[in-house]
Amino acid sequence: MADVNERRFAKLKVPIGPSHPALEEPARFLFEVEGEKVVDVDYELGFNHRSIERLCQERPFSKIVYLVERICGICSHAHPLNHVERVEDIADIEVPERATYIRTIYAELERIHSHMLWAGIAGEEIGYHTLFMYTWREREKVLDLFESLSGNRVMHGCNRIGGVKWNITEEQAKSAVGTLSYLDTVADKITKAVLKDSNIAERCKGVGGLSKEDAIRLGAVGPNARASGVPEDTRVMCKYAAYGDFDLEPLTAQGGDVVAQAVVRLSEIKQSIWLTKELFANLPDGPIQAEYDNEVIPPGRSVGRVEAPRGELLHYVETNGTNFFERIKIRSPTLANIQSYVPKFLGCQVADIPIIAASIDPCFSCTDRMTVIKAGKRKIVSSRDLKLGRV
Amino acid sequence: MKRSFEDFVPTIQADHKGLNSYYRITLDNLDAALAFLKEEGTRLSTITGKDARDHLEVLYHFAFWGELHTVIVELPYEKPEVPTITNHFFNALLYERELIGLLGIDVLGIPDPRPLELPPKYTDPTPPLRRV
Repeated sequence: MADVNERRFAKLKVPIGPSHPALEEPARFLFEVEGEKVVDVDYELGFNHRSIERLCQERPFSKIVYLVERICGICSHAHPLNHVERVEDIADIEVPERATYIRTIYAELERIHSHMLWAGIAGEEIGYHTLFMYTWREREKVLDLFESLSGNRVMHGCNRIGGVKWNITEEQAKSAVGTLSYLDTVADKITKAVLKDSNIAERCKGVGGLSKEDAIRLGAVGPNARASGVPEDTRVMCKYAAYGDFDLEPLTAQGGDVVAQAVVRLSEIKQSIWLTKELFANLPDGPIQAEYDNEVIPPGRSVGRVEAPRGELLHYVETNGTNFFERIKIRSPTLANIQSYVPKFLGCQVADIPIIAASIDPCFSCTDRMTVIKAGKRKIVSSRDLKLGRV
Repeated sequence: MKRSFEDFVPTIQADHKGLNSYYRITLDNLDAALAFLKEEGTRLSTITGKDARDHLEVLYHFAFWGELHTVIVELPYEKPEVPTITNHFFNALLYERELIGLLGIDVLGIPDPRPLELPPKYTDPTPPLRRV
């Protein structure tokens, strides 16, 4: 007869995802558990692969800014911003200073609403629904602000090669600064609600930790790396757009656990509100669009990074002198952060899986970027279908 | 970086523009290049695979604070093979799996050779990012 203890500690495989109530994202994790303890983990991506990189090579360059904006609903400014900066670098287009400031304002507002979204989801994963409702209600103010500036809450259509599409009037700036002052008090309340709460501290302290050595070895980026003490912030290091005009410090914490992730993101909300106010106060006058030959982009290549809300976002753009791109490569921050899941999950309790999964703020649409579901049947799209535009 | 790449690794061609540097090297010198970049404290940002019509190219992007150093190796169409770099930079694993799936490049010695994005039943013989 089998020993009772032996049966109790037998290893089991627990699949979570794609699109599981504990992980509402198209990624599949296979956990090997011993009792309640996770002893091994494997991951599978590609459930939402949309082949954007291939599509970018199949369309004229004037349509690509529109396409890269649709890679991710939350980083809908970071992707086109990096793309237009790469094209401007190849074509040596001098962007007017006012346009760089407007781009930076959008980038920082995007960071504020993304980090507020994270705080809400993290609250929901640990059963703190009040925090979820509160942060998401206040996040609407940022989306309303986007609507007042660009006419759209999510897809702003702000970036163009050589400048921006939407100018900012004095009335808009005045009203935006008022909203930002209100959001500053909201950020203080959320920070207090999260970091002073003894229940959250007990629930999250030490959960999903990541050492600084592991963060560097596994190539973690963004707030996930900064929460482990890696002081890397692309805004500070690369000084793209208007970031060179302001003194920013990378905000770090130690340990990489859920509390450290919260400390970094909540302080970044405050930092971004301060920076956005400074940008509005120092907004230079002048044109918002540079003149350039919009027929052809000269042959060349450019690789560069911007700090999306989830971390370092890399675009590589190569042109060949025609109006089609030779190659576009996009590496989203979540892909770089996936490997850091392994040390975070190993040794954790099954009940901690949702909050650890949410803690790095994963966003899988931009990570996968081909499956078409028609009449309930899954159809696999081939490269021939793509070439013929059957997607 | 404190030291110049070209002084330590035989380079066919080097381009510098702003904070970006590109070094074209032969596959034989890849190991020496990786050892040099590791010593300098760079971090692998990502790997790009490219179909250049008559050959394939692999571009390794390394970040060193604001600088980006790109090492380019060319591979023949007939036998596109590249050694794994996970022994130097472990985070290369996902990017090398992407090379296998999307460009059909064989990565020799990779600890996990499953294609990253493509479904297991993907049967098209042409990898999606190849031009023919």
